[in-house]
Amino acid sequence: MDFFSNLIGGLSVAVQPANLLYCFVGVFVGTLIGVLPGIGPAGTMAILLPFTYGISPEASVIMLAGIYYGAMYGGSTTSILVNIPGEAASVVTTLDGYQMALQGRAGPALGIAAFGSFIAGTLSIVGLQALSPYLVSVALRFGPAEYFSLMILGLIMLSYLAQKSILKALMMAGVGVLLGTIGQDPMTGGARFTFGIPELLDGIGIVPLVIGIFGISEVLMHGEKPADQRSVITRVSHLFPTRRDWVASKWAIIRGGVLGFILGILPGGGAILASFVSYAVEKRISKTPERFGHGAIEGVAAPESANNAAAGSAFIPMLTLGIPANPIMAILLGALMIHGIAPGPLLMKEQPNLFWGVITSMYIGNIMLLVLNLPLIGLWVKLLRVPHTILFPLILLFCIIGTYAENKSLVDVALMLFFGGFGYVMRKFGYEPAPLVLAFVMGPILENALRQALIISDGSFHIFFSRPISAACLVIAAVLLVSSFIPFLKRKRELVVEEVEG
Amino acid sequence: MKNSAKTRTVHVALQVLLVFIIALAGAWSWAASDFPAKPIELIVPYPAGGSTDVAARVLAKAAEQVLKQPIVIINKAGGGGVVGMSGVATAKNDGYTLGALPPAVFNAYYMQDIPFVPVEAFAPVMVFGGWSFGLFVKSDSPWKNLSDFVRYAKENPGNIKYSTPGPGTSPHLAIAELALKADIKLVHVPQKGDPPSITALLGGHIGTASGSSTFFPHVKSGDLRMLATYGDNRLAAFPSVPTLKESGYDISYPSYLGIVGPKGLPESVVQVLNNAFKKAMEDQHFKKTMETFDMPVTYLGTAEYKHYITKIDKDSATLIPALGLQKK
Repeated sequence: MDFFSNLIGGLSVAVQPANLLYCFVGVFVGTLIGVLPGIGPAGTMAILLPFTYGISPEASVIMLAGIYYGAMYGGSTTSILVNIPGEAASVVTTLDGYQMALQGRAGPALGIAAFGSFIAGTLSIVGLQALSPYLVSVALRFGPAEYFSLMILGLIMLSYLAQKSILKALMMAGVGVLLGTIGQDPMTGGARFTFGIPELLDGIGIVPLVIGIFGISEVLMHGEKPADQRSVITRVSHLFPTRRDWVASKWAIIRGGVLGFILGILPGGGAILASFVSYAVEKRISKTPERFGHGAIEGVAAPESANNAAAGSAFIPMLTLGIPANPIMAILLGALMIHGIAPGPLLMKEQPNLFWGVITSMYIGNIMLLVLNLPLIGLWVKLLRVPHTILFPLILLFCIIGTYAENKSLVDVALMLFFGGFGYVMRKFGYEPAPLVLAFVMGPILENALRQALIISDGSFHIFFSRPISAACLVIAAVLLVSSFIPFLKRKRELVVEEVEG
Repeated sequence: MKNSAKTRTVHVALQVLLVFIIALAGAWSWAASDFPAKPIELIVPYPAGGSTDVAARVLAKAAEQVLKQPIVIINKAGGGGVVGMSGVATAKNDGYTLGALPPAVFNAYYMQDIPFVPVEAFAPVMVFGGWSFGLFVKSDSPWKNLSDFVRYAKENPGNIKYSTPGPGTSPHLAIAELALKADIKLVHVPQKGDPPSITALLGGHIGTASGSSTFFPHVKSGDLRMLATYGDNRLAAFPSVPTLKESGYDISYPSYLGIVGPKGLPESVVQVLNNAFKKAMEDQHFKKTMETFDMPVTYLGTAEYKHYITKIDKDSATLIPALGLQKK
């Protein structure tokens, strides 16, 4: 009964006209910046933070939260249409989304991304509302040993991201891990590979890396094409997912949602990690894994559902403990603090209207997003008819603005341009960027967890096997590793690889 | 004839000189009385949303009323404050670029190669507050107070694992100094910021944590206990928690947060800014915000702030090598 009384209490806050308005403003801005590559939710929310002085704490958090999960909706749009992720969490969507667009199925891809986001996003809010207190105690049991083993499990998933050569994918993962070591050593504070540039002390940002490797390199690739080739994609069939698309994606959406929800609670990777892992899982359990990378709709449905679910569950540690799972949650905490509200374990008790009002507004925001996004699909698809001599310079502009806006740093812009060139060369030689991005995200978490765990255990590796969650992750990882060799023995995997290369 | 030509030349020269002086004086007085004539940028070297950011924002909001010019907060995070403060150090010293100086930058200077010398690079304006630090354990821990903790650590050297927001941060230096002075051996498990320390402590993965007021809500909720606080005075919110000094260790970390400009800031500009920010400290919203974060409101004038900067630079110079954290 608590569930419903909280829901009604929250609803009474969320449907106040002012709060509805701010919710709409939030999701609208979120969709917009999600669509624009480079301009991300963290930068936008930081810019808008001063404007929340004048409005109530409920309205400010409702609006800022709307920007965050709205961006997760919009992020898939450019991934699908022009092979450039709008947000880091939509990197993996490029793999199949863009292929679908090339086949003239941009509409169904955008549609399933919107519906998947809505379904998984809504499920995630139900989970947030009903399970928060229990999930927090589970999340607290994740110490360094558990993180390490979870990351090992995640790294095994890397092999499923490889579309052409496994060897090249592993090499790129190696580069990603190396790039992740740049910055201050987490244990000693010493500088690693920073060359005296203070901007590198915190490591390379995910935004310059992703925007460079995907955005700039895509622009460069298009620069090769003759100018009279008017548009990127000309063939567009229907706008909405067909019955067959739904049958293929319904479980991918549910699985992506559940995975995203679980991974979103854990600080660190969050939505990015969730999108990668859910894609790998779909490919792993699919009866026809060879379709992935060639326009499989599950490959769009799963990661887009996962990143929205993760965006919802990331609120759990923030609202229940006052602990931000990512920099975006930290900005939301800041919005509370500006209004003199101390975030923490007492928030639910001391500010029930705020707590339940924000959660309930997320249901409304998700409905708004669906209503907002479905008619936009037609518009986005039309955008593809814009000549690429106009579209790509604009994309380049947004990439530069967005990267600069994140930290107001020219070093970031230089890094982005460098990775643009790097990504271009990578593509020319058939190296895929997705494994690099995943390894770049996971590498530092893995290193930190490994070193912390070994400090805690006084150097004994026993800690990874004696703790149940950690041991379970390692066992699953081992099983996956062994099972991925079985298709090799059956020559199934080899055939798949040959088919792709041939 | 010759003479009058000479006189005329002198006259012209004098007139030009006079006009020049008047113009200069005018410009000078314009600069002094009309500062600020355009918006001021205040660089906060941390991401938006943290306690430093919010405290600076609220203070700036109040100071705008006095200065009659907007103060724009620029978040330039990175390197524990180094990135943002190097932006301040290299800015034009006209008072339109200011920074909120965190003491961590002084430690960073001895740990890494950074592009400025913190003790020389800035013109102090004033201190408006500080952080509160403390030593925390889970509330079901057997250590009820600091002497329980020290006794256990003496009997079980290397057994207690502690977390801090990172190597070389003030909470790290404070507990490391405590370990030196109490002659106990503790093992450091560094984290990236206070929040992961809190989760590690709540989850029972570490024995204790040294951190800032971010921990306080968890003490108020009864999940954590504070064994000691590091400032010179007890905290208003936790009057029963003793300071390290009261517990018998001569350690004090009154970590001040202040406004600085690039070195060579004109005296008149410093005056205007000092007055404005000092008045802003009277603002009710500012006071309430600082209270929410348990950040003590402390005013230090320009001279006292300069003295404090020299002192913490000296402290860092000795403590960082003592902990083996110096740049190699």
